[in-house]
Amino acid sequence: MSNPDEKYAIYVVEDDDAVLKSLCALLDAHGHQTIPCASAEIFLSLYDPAIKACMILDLRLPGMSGTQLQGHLTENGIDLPIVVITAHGDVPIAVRAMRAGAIDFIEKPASESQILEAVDAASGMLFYRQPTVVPPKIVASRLSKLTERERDVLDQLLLGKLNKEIANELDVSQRTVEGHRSRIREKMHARGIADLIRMLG
Amino acid sequence: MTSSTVNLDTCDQEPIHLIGAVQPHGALIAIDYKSRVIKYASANTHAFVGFAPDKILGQPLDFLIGVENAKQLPAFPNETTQPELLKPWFIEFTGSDGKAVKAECLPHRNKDYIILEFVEAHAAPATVWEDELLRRGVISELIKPDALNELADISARLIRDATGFDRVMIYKFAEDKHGEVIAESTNRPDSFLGLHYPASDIPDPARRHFTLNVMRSIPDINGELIPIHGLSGEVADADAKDPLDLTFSKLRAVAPVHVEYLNNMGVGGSLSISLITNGELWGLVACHHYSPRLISSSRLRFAELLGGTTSALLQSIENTNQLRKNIKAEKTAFLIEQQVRSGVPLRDLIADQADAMMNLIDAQGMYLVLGNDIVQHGVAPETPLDFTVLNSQLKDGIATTNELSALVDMNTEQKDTIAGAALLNLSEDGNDYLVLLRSNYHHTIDWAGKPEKIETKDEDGITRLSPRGSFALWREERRNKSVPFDATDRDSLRILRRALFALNSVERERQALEAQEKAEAEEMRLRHALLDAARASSLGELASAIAHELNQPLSAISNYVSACQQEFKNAKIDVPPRAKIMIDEAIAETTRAGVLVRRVRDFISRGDLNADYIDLNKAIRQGIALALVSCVLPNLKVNLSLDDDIPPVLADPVQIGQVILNLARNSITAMENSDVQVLTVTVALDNDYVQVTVHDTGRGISHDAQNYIFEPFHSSTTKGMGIGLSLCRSIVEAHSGRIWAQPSDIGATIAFQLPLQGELDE
Repeated sequence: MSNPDEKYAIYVVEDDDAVLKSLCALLDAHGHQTIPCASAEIFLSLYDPAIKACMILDLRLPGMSGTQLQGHLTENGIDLPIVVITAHGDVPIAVRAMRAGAIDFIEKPASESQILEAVDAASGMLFYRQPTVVPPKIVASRLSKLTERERDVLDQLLLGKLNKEIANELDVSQRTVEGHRSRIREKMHARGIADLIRMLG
Repeated sequence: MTSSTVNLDTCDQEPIHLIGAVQPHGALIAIDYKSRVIKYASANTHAFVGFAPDKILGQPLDFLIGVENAKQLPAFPNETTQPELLKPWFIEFTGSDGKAVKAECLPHRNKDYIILEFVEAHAAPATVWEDELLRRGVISELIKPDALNELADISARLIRDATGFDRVMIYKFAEDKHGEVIAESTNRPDSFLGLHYPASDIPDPARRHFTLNVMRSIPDINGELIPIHGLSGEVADADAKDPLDLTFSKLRAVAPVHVEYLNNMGVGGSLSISLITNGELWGLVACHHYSPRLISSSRLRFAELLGGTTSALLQSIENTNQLRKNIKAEKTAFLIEQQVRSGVPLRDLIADQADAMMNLIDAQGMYLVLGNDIVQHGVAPETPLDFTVLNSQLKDGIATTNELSALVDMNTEQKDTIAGAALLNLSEDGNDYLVLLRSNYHHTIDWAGKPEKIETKDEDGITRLSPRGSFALWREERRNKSVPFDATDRDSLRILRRALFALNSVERERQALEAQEKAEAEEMRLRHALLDAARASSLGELASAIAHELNQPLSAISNYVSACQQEFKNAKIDVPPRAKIMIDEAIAETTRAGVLVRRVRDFISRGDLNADYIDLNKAIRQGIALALVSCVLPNLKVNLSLDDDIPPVLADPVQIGQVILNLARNSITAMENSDVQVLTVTVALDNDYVQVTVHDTGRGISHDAQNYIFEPFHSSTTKGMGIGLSLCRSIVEAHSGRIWAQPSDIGATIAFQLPLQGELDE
């Protein structure tokens, strides 16, 4: 899906060697130019402002963490579209990363299409293609379709809570929460939490 | 000087014994002890010894009673003695007119004089014999009763039988010296039984005379006062240069105030016998006749004997009663002690035994204070009273008063309800005490006779010196007072107090122990909670770490397979359809594995944050304390540099406790082989963060290791799985904080920050 006229690189910052290599292999196979970085520090040493680039960033890194790197980039005015990649347990941190300006986040293990869609969204930023902004009216009409319980679950999701935590909070089973989540995704036309956060902040 | 002389010296200050006159039913002379010369004589000597005073004054005794009689005069010791009524001396000699004189003589010594009193001799062998018989029956009757009032009743009756007086009353003196009529035998329609007399009715000098002079006979209240003259012709009264001390005289004339008192009651003749127990004036037998009544010496002797017997029996009964009361007190105390051992709290026991204790002390109310716990029983004022002033008057742990209102401000309601109190101190600090309350006196006394019925000569209202006036006065004196607490009461109180104090001490110790045990149990519970949480968190962290670690290869597999597929496509190689299906299946399986891992991770999640605004110092202390429980370092020194001024932090105390616990444990393990073993925990404010730094003097963290120590499964110790620091990071990050290793020259330094403005609830 890459456009040959729109050349850009993807910094992949990931400390796990296998994940780093496989991710780059996948993106390379799809015609992307990748720059593998095994740590935040290595990224900073390799970073070239002259190259148009976006970034896939693992939040858990030894030394400088992904969150710290994100903060560092913001502080230094380096505006790279960032896709955050995280392990499932770190959703609350990912939510914080989204708030701090990340374009999207992917939970490991992610499917090929999830990865490619996220990278497309990020690269789109480079060429002034804003991610599709859903007009507030439509968001409101979608929200109005949620049941009260679904609204409760949605509120918890936006806080970055895990299914189990939500289940405890609302005193229902995890399975019920999963059911609510899938109906919320349906009604809100969202692929995941990242979409929901984009729509609802 | 002897003791009786001392008593007399005291009496010298009062004029009652220096009245200088005798009653008309006998005559008195006094001789110089050494020279035996008659120095004093009453004006009526002629009638009783056959010589007018002027005939014998200045003469030796031999002149009056003859040499042989004079030889019979007992050799008195060199001290004051009393006339011995029970050893009569019948004497015969010749008077001035040659007539034979028959008389009974009662001699006694007073300082430098021997006083000889002469009364008409009534003695006849037959009467004495009758008296003997009577005496035998009487004594056996007297020793029967074992109750005070019963003995008093019998004694009054017997004395009236023996003396023939119209009314015989037995008074008992209370500790405050007021008197009560406890027994009466009379042929009159009215009764004085139950009457109380103010202490002032029997003035102190008279009281002393009663003690010294057991028997006092006044055959005719209004009998003439016969003056006693000395050698100079002067009347030997208090105004004289050389007065004669009549303290022990049987014939001593009656003081005018006493004459008035008896006249007011219409009494014509009186006899009183002192009841003396344990050397104290216990009471009086007062015999009243409504006309003059002279009884023979033998009858007097008999009456004195009865009085003495009554005194002895009274003493025995009183002692027995006191003993019984003590035994009762001991029993009550024992009962309480026994039940305390069965685990009933002291406060409940005292409440249970309230009636028994009140009964024992003749109290009407009870007030128990155990710290802040107050129990009331019986009659107690609605408005609580502050008894603490009694605490300053403790003697052997007990304070009593029969006039509480003199010590404590009391309102009308309180004064109406109670008047006297006995406080039993039950703890060293004075916070625990028992108060037994007595009602107003006039609520508790009863008087068989009605004041209106008492015959008195007084016709224009109540006179001061009348029973009715006395009673009214006595009531006035008793306003706001209770029955006083006497020696017996205090004995019982002491017994009760001793037991209760000991029990209360034991109970207090038990309570303190219980409180301590409770505190320890709570401490233990907290520890367990922390340990449980630590275990659960470790498991959660383990699950999280496994999930993370498994997800990495799963991601790689998924990526690689997807990349392969794409590479085939890029190379325009047709993958056989079955291989294509298998590749898709492989990808689907990695996705399924990812979901499974997620499920496990969710199932064993670390759990919710139970965040609250907490005192970080406290959480640190708990964590450190827990880490030290299993610490085996002998020389470990712990420095807690805490800051009491840091504001509360929004955090989960148990989870923060775990962070500290894990860091401290790591430090302790790292210092196992160190010469210096110092663990330092510092808390400091850093802008919007609170920073906690844990420093040790262990082997430290290598520079390389600083990069991965927070990753799971990178244990730097041989123990454990290596998720401790990973867990710390998870917890700190869940609190929107961060954790890191700081380079340090000696040992290791790990620091973490928590935001002051928590973001947990956003």
